[in-house]
Amino acid sequence: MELSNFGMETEESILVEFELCDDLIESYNNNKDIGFLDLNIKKKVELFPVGTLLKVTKKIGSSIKILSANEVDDTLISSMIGK
Amino acid sequence: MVSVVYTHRLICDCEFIRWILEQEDKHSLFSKLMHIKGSSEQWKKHHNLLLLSEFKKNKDIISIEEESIGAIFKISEDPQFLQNYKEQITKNLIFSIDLTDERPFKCYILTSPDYEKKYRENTHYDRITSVEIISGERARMVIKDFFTAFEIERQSLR
Repeated sequence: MELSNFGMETEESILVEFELCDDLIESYNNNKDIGFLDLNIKKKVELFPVGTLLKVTKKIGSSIKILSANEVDDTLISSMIGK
Repeated sequence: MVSVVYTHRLICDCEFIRWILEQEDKHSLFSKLMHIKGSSEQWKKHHNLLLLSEFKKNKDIISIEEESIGAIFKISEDPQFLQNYKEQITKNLIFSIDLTDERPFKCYILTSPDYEKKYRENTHYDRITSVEIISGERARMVIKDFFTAFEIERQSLR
């Protein structure tokens, strides 16, 4: 084993993405490497109407874990670009 | 799944983002662009682009975080061939022209009213028909029209 690669397998990144709830569920249904941190988040996503835009936090490592998913609304946009 | 075939890809510069942030309806414009970026059938999450060189060079004129910009325009690495060009406006133009060899074969460059003229006067823009430079009210109308297409598709699925 090369020393430069040692420990790489445990590295994980947190990503923030903006995607539609139906895309997120489609990804989950088609990719077994994707999971939700807990099933309540999955249930919450499934309850959003089609075409709802979500701010999604993901942990990427040896798998993809959805940590949070919140609807993009005016409050969230205000926090991003100001009032 | 809400998926829309938009007529043009959207390329912007930092001047356009600065323009958005000065508008009274900036929240609405921001939200519409997020929906467009996330719903493109042909270029999901890659429909709206901002060149990395543009971002690095002009990010100081924008008062929001990189993550917030990424929500509406994906910051895209410069293709190597852009190294041949020095001016940022030229890089943005050549990048847009290159994108039009793939679907939907047309691009809008979104900029500020002040910079629209500079793009139009660039020698590389001479006789180009697949790339259109837009700003101000015209840009607002295009975003509104694209979002209307998204809403129609969303309604058909609900």
